[in-house]
Amino acid sequence: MRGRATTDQELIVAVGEADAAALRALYDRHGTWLTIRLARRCADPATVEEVVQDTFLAVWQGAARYRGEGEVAAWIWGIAIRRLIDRLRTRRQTAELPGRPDPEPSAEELVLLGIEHGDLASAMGRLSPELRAVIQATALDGLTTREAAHLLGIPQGTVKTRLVRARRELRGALA
Amino acid sequence: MSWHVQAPTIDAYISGRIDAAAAFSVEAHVLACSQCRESLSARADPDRHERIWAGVREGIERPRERAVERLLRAIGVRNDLARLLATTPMLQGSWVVAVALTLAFGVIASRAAGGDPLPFLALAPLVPLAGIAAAFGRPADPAWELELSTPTGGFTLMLIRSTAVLAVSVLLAGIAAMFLPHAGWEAAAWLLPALGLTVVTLAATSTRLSTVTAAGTVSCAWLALVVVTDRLSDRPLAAFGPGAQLAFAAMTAAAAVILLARHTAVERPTRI
Amino acid sequence: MVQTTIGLTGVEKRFGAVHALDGMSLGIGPGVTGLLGPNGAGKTTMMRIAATVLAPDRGTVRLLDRDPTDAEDRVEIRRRLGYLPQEPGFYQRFTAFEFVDYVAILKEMSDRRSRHEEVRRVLDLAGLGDVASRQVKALSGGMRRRLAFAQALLRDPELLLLDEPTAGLDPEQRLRFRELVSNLPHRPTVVLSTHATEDITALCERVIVIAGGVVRFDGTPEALAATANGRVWIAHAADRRAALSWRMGDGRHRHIGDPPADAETATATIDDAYLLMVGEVRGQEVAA
Repeated sequence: MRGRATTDQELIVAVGEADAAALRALYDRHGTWLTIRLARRCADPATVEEVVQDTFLAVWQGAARYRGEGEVAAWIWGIAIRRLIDRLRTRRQTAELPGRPDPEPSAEELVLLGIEHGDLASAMGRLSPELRAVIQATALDGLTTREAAHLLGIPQGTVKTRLVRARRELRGALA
Repeated sequence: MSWHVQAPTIDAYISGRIDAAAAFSVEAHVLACSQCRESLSARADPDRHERIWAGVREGIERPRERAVERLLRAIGVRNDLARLLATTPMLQGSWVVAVALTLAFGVIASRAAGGDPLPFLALAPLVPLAGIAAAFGRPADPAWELELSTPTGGFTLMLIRSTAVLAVSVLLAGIAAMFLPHAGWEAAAWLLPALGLTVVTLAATSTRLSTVTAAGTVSCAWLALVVVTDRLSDRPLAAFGPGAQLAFAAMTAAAAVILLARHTAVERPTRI
Repeated sequence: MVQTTIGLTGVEKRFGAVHALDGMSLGIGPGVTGLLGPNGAGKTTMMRIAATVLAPDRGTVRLLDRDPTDAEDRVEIRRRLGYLPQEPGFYQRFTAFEFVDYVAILKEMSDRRSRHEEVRRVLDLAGLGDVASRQVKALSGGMRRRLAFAQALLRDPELLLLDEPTAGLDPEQRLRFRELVSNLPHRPTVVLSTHATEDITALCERVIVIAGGVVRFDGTPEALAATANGRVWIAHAADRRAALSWRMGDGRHRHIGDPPADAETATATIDDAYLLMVGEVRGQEVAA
C-alpha cells in the first residue's frame, strides 16, 4: 500500500480524517507497551484494559488536536496515565487531553533514566517502595505532585516529603 | 537509537521480574524507540490485544447519541424509538434555535403591537408545519424511497416524526407564550389551530403533494384566513374565538379520520 | 412447479403520456435474475413496484405469496425485502455505521447489541468495515453505492432488489460484488437491474429485457445472445447497411443487423442481442 513504513505522525493525521485502519495500526504499534506499563501501575487488569480502550478512543477523537510535538508514544502515555488517574479517583471518565507537552525532565532525572545498571541502579534498589513509587510517578511518568498523589492514593504533602527524602537518599548514594 | 533493550530484559520486564531502575529505563526508552516497542508487541497476548481492540472499534463505530436521545432513554423510551425521534430534524440544535428565534419574534411583534397577541398567534401554528416539511417525505428526507420499503418507514415513521415535531413545537410555543403581555386565554389559543393544521398537512401528504408543498399551502391558507378574518370581523381575534376553536377541533378530527383512511396511499403511493 | 416470488399480471403504470409499464406480466423466482433495458424502459418502475414503494395503475402484483395492497401483508413483505434504489439518498451527517443502523431500526431490530452486530456484518460484507465511522459526505460515490447495498443485506432478505448495484464501482469492487451475490445463503430471489452486461453474464441464471414498457425477452443469457446469431459481422470499414455499427479496439468495425452475403459473421454476445432488440423496438416505436 505505501512504499515505506508510515510514521506515527502520518497515522495520527489519518486518524484525524476518520480512518479506522490507521487507528488500528496505531493500536497495533502502541497497545502492547501501553497495556504492560499501565499494568505496572494498577493491579486490576479489567481497569487496565478499560483505560487502554478509553485511551485509543480519546486518540480517535482528539487526533486533530495533536500538534506534532514530541513522540506520539509520549502523547499517548500522557492521555493514558491521566485516564488511569481519573478512574482511580472517581471511577468515571473525565480527563482532558494534555494541551501542552510534558515538562523537560531535570538533569538528575535524565541521569536516572539513562542507565541500566550500576551504582545508581543499586541505590534505587535500596530505596523503599514508597519512595521509588513517587520517583517513578514524577520523573518517569511525568506527573505533577498532585497527579502523583491521585495515582498513588496519598496526600499531596506526603508526595512532596517523600520526593525530598528520595532525592536526598539518591544524592547521598551518588556522592 | 544508540541502544536497544535486550531480549532477556524485555522478558523480565513483561513478567515483572525486573528491578525498578531497569524498568524505569525500559519504559523511558520505549517511549522513544519504535523497534523496542515492536519487540514488546511481538510478545503480546493476542486474545487480550483483540479483546481490547473490539472495545475500541465498538466505541468509534457506535452511533453518536445526541443529548435528546440520552434524555429520551433516561425517561424510559426504548433505544430504537428514541433514535428515530432524536434523528428528526426538528429536534436538532439548529432547528431549536431557529424556532425559538421565530417565536421570540412573534412575542416581540405582539408586544410592539401594543399587546395585541395576533402576530404571535398567527405565527405559532406555522412552527410545526415547518417542522413537518423538514421531517419526512421529499425533498427533505433524502432516504425516503429506501425508508418506504421498510416495515416501519412509511406511516409509522411519519407518525413518530410528526409527534416529535408537535411535541417540541408545543413546548417551545408554550414557553414563548408565557412572555405575552397580559396573557389570558389567548396564550393557548394557538394550540388547537396548530394541531389542526398539522393533521391537515399530514392528510395532504397522502395525495400527490410533496410534504413541502402541503405544508406551504396550508401555511398560506392559514395566514390568509387570519388576515381576512382580522379585516372583515369587528371582533378582535376572530380566528381564535370559541367558535373558531370548535371549528379547529372538528377539523383536526376530520383530518385525522381522512389521514387514517388514506394510510395506504402514504404507505404505497401511486405517484412518486 | 416453479416457486414465484414476484408475480406481475397485466401491470400498467403511466406517468403523464409515458407508458412506463404497458401490461407487463411475469413471474420471478429464487436465483439471480437480470433486468436489462434502456433508461426509461420501465425497469426502475418495475423495481419500485416490486419493492412496494409504488402502486401500479392497473394489474395485480403478488410478492412473496402475499398481496401488497393489504396492510398486514405489505408489512410482512417489507420484513423480508432488501432494496437498493437507483438513486439512494443518505443523511450526509450520519456515519456509514449510523446510516445502516438507522435502516436496521426501521427493519424492526430493536435490540441494540444484536443490531450493531448485524450492521457490522453487512458493512464488512460490502467491504466498508474500515470506513464504518466515516461520515457519508466523506465517502466516494462507489462507497455510497456499496453502503446502500449493505443496508439491503440486513436480516438476510428473501427478496433482494438491486437497481444499478455496480454503477460507479471499479472492476475489483464489481468482482467482489458478484462473489457476494453468488454466495448469498438460503438462495434468495435476487433481481438485478443493470446496464452492465458483464454482470448479467457473470451472475444471472435468467435475463429479462424490458423495452417500451413490455417484456421483449425472457430466458437465459446464452439464449439472449443466440437471438443475434448470424446477425453480427465484422468488416474493415463501416457498412451503412448495418442497423448499428461501431469501431472496435483493433480498428475493424462490428456490425449488427442483416449481414450481406459475403460478410464475416462473428459470435453474438449479449450486447449485440440487446442492441439489436432495443434498436428494433425503437424502430417500431418510430414507425408506430
